[in-house]
Amino acid sequence: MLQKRSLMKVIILGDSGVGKTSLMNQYVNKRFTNQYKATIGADFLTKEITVDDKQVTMQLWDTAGQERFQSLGVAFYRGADCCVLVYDVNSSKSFETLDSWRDEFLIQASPRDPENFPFVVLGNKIDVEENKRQVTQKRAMTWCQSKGNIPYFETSAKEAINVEQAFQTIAKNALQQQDTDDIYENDYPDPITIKPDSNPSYGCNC
Amino acid sequence: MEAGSLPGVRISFEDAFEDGGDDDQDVQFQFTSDAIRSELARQNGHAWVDGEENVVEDVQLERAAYDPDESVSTIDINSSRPYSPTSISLPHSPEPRSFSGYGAEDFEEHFRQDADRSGSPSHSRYPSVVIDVSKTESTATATTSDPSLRSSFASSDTAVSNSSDPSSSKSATNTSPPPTPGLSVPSGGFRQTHRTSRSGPSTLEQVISKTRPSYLPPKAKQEDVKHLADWEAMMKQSRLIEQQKRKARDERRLARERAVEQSTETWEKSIIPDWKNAVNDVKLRRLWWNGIPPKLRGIVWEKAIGNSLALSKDTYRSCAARAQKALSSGSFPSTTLHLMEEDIGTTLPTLHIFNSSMGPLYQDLKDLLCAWVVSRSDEGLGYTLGASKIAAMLLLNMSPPTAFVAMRNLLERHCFRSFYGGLSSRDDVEAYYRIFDTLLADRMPKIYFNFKQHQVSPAAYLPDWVVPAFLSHLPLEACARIWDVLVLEGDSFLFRAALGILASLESRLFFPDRKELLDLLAGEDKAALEVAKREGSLVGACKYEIYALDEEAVWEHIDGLNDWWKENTWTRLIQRELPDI
Repeated sequence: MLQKRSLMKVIILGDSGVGKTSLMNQYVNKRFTNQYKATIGADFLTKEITVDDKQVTMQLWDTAGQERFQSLGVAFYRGADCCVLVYDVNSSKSFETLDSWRDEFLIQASPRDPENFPFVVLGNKIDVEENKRQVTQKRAMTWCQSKGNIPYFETSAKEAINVEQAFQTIAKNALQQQDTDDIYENDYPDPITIKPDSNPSYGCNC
Repeated sequence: MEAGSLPGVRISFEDAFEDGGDDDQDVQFQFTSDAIRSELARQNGHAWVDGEENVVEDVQLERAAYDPDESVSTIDINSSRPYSPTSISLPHSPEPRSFSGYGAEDFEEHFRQDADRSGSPSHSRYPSVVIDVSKTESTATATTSDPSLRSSFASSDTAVSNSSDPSSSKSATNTSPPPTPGLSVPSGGFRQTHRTSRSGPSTLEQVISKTRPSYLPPKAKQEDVKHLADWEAMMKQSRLIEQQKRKARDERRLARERAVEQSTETWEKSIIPDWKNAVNDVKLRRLWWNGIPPKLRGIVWEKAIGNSLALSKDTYRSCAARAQKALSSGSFPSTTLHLMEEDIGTTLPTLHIFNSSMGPLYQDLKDLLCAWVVSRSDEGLGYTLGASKIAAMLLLNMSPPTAFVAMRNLLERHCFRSFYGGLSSRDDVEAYYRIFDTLLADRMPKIYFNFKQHQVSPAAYLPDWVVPAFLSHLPLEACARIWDVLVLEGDSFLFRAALGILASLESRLFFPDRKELLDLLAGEDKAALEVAKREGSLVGACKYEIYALDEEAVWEHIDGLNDWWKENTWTRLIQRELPDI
């Protein structure tokens, strides 16, 4: 419970219907379904991975894109190691809202070093015909560069294109973030060596 | 389209009940009340196909025009009249054909006569329970003789277009002996099979009234149609109004959320650093009642709850360690663990965040609850169902050690303490019930009176609300805002919120029946459940979801109490009922 965490928390944000759940499912379960079922509340998946010879559990937090997480707020964003922003390359609206999703995250999570907090942007649904595409690769890359060189991937959860690579990068960046985070003090106070029953009078408030 | 998708009304009695004797074997109809009931259940279970529904409505209107005196007959399936479970088989079938003593031929004879008499059928020769089969026949007649309708039918289905052949329709009007060639479909049996496999209106459905309970005498057809039309209009109007209301509410919510967001700076810069002075500021109260910015909830709640128990930061660690030790040695009571798991399982289930198999905060929640149980064990208190909700709400906003201190202190407030105190504080809880009753009688006398008449005491619902601090019943957003004010105002706000909830349920609380009232308060009102299911708005987030109690709805009513509420009334009631605190 209190040991040094080998768990990394990754949050996936983006408009509803861009394929957040599908990407996660493709990466973790290697499965894809065409049926759209809106995520209610949130969904969580974990995957054991090896990054730089280190065993880590990646915990993916999938949000419901159609609602803002007003009350969930802090719990949701707290302690995130990486934030994945997803949009649909066939919908410019979903691309334009990336800004507000990024802001929302930075406000709610208040990371120590917002300038260098790792984001990754995924342009999903590239399997759809070319003439339906609304956001060019160049436009997306420009945006990513302007926000401090955010890594950018074009993916297809349906065809499993680039999904593995994208999540590899996500994992790497998240791990780096953890390492820098550890330099600072943690969210939770430093573990104090526990001597069980060292103070049995606790719990009595007389 | 196939012949089977024709509007069912056109099926004559013979068609519907004809065995056909070819591809379909042994279609028999049991006219026992059980059989009819199950048929009804089957029919209700199916949604009609849209287009079809419209056609049927049209036909009903037509029917009214042609047979003004026709009435919708009623089958009283609950009739006590002992029916012999005779099976009606069809004209060509060699099986015995009798229906309560009438042979199938008699039956045919009947509706021929009926059609002749054109309306005002004498029911004298029918058994007390009437199946007005004449309807089907005369409808078919009317239908086919109407050219406009004929064409609409022809377009809807070419296979039977020959049925609108004038001669045949004429012969139908003249009640030539059935089966009328123009009306019958090649194989009645085919129709039957088709009907059972699809969800169109069945013969039974055409003859039973949908607008009048079965135990009342039938309504005139004209009236029936008019009422259905009225109902449609009313429903349309109501949906429209509902939509407008929702829109207004959404706008209000957005405006409020923007205001709360803008207040973040005030909170961060002037309130939190200058806590002691700020809390007594009148302006702050107004801001506070609007809701704390979600991001700052953890900090503000922690400050507002305070730490009167003077628990140190290490208390959590020590209690958690003790719990851990007890867990691993097996001395942690298993009933407690059981209750805890059950409680966690129903904690914000749609959020998945506390889900035992994959919820990332499940372990935190369990650790916190175990530590809480350990810390309370010295007082001889066990687990209370609902504690998980309190812990969860806090964990959503703060880290486990802070949440622990906040939880211990919050539940130490007198009202919570009483409700969480088990047997030892039963008298105090009773006192709180009396206080609530007094407030209810003052604010909503009619509801109070109805509750009294049907022995619904606050004990039946108040603990369910107070113990989990409304989290089981209200949506998270509404609840979080109640908590905002609750941590500031203290116990009295529990009662104001509870009254606000009753006020928002007010229109539903006049049921003259105890069980209905209790079901409703438990969030299990069947009617509301059906409506919510129909609208598809059900996700299972909280118990009062079915009443569409969202943040704005509840808060409208809580705010509505403000002018009436007097803090000194509360103080006086507390002094009267609980003089010792």
